[in-house]
Amino acid sequence: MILEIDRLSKSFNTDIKKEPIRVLDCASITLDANEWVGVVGESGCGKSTLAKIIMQALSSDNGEIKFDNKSIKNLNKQELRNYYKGVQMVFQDPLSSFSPRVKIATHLSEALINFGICSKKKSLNMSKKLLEDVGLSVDKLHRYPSELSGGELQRVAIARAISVSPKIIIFDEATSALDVRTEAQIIKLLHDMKQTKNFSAIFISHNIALVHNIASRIYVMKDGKIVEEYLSKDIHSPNRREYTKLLIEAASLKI
Amino acid sequence: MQEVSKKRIAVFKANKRGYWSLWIFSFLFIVSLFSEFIANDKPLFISYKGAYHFPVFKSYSEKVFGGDFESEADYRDPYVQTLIEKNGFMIWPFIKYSYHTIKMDSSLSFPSPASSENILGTDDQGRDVFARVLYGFRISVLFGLALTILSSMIGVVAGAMQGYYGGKVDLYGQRFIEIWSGLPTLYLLIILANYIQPTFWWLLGLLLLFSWTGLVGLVRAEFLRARNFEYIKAARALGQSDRMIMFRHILPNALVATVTFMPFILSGSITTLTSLDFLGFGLPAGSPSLGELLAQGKENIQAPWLGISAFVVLSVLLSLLVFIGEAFRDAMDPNIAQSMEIK
Repeated sequence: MILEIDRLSKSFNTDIKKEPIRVLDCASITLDANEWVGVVGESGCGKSTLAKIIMQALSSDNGEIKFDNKSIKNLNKQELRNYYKGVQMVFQDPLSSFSPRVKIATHLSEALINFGICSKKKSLNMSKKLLEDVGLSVDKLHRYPSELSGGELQRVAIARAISVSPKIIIFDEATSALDVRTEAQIIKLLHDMKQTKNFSAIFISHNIALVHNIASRIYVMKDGKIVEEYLSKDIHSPNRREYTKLLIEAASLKI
Repeated sequence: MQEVSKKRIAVFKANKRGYWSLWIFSFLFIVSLFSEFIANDKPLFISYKGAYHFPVFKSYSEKVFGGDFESEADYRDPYVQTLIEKNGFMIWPFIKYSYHTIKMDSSLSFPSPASSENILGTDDQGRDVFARVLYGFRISVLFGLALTILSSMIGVVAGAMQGYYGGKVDLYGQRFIEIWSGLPTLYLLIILANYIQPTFWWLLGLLLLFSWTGLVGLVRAEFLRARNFEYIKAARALGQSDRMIMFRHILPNALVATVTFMPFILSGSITTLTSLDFLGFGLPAGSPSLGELLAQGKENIQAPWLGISAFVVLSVLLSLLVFIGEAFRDAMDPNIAQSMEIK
């Protein structure tokens, strides 16, 4: 088991007078090496909070996260760096996950240099290779993020996450901001990656059909709780909970 | 991004008043940088007995020109002038006075009114007003620029730290700035002027102590806003150090707001220097200074050319800077960048 999330809880205080809002409630998730799991739930169910806690952008109130059987609580700077070398994330909004005044080349080579994967000299060549791997032309290197389309940027984001050869990549609604056709292209890219690269993934989305397409095991979240866990081949099993059936039904309505 | 810059330049140019102000200001500033060649008590060029001399760059003793003394030649002395003109010629600058040259050969009492010799008259010590205005303009702008750049740099760093780290750094930093900016700057300067004779650099340092707080609030707000952006989280997850995140990822965005304020800070700095000079706590005595000229104008109401010269130069300078600042502010309007993104 590469990642073990054990009974994670998180509350936010919005108003001193009101009760704190419980965003995550004893959520537990496990992830094996090279396994792709999905986390599905409607807006506001705590999916993104979960991702943020895994990325240590937020701290949890209760519960524990173990990466490679080591707790990631109270890491110092160096340990956190090592952790990030193992766990990367692709964000929902491609445009806002790149600083607007930094060129693509710098975005890509920064990570490579920071984690000591290659020297400054070689980083440009390596960035070129990374771009080609995700199906983008090399001339995009010298563009600013605002000059690329959402789909192209999301490819760069995937290239950036993969560049450090992490053990886990978290996709937080990674295709939600894209149109249907671009979404399909990204999913195809991810399928290819699944074949060629070795990493586990947590695919977080509100779109259950999409998650089925890509993940082998699925967690369903509702109001901060994991309400169901099942293998995606068992989707039509009669044992599915009511809520999961509702989500599946809603997804099939679209088609 | 380059598209946005092009659009910004277009907006700046469309503001005719600000655009022309920038040209006029640049022209005046560059001209004033060459003050030594426009108003000086030394000739630009001397040809003496077939040899060439450049007194502006090098000091020559009187003996070189057949005089009696080892000391530097006083080219305004009729004796030296006849010596040189007997064996060669001199080319003088447009104004034959430097800012500290005292007019010795005047039959009038000082301050003397405008004449063909002194186009703006002389001040109460017999120095040419035009030369003093020219050099005073230069020192004011240079002082203002130095103060603006240095205080912006300190302010940006302080604001960045407070906004980025937040929490206690922010809390104590803000309280410190509140108390610090509550100190009466002028009184402190007056007290300090009793102990030291302020020079250009002393004065710059003293004013810097209090002027850096101006930009902190603005930069802090930008950093507070930006530190929760997704790309900052992404950068952090990609192993970026805090310093790199601050200066490569956040600062360029905060810089737009900062740069917008610079022309206004510049005009504020010039005003501060002028008011200190006016009160007599500014640059050392004898320095060319617009504030000192204003004070002379006040002392010598019978000689209106003093006050009027200083007033015209100061008001033109400050107006130009404000006009440039306004055009700059419009060009840096974030709505321009946003409207481009929507397209």
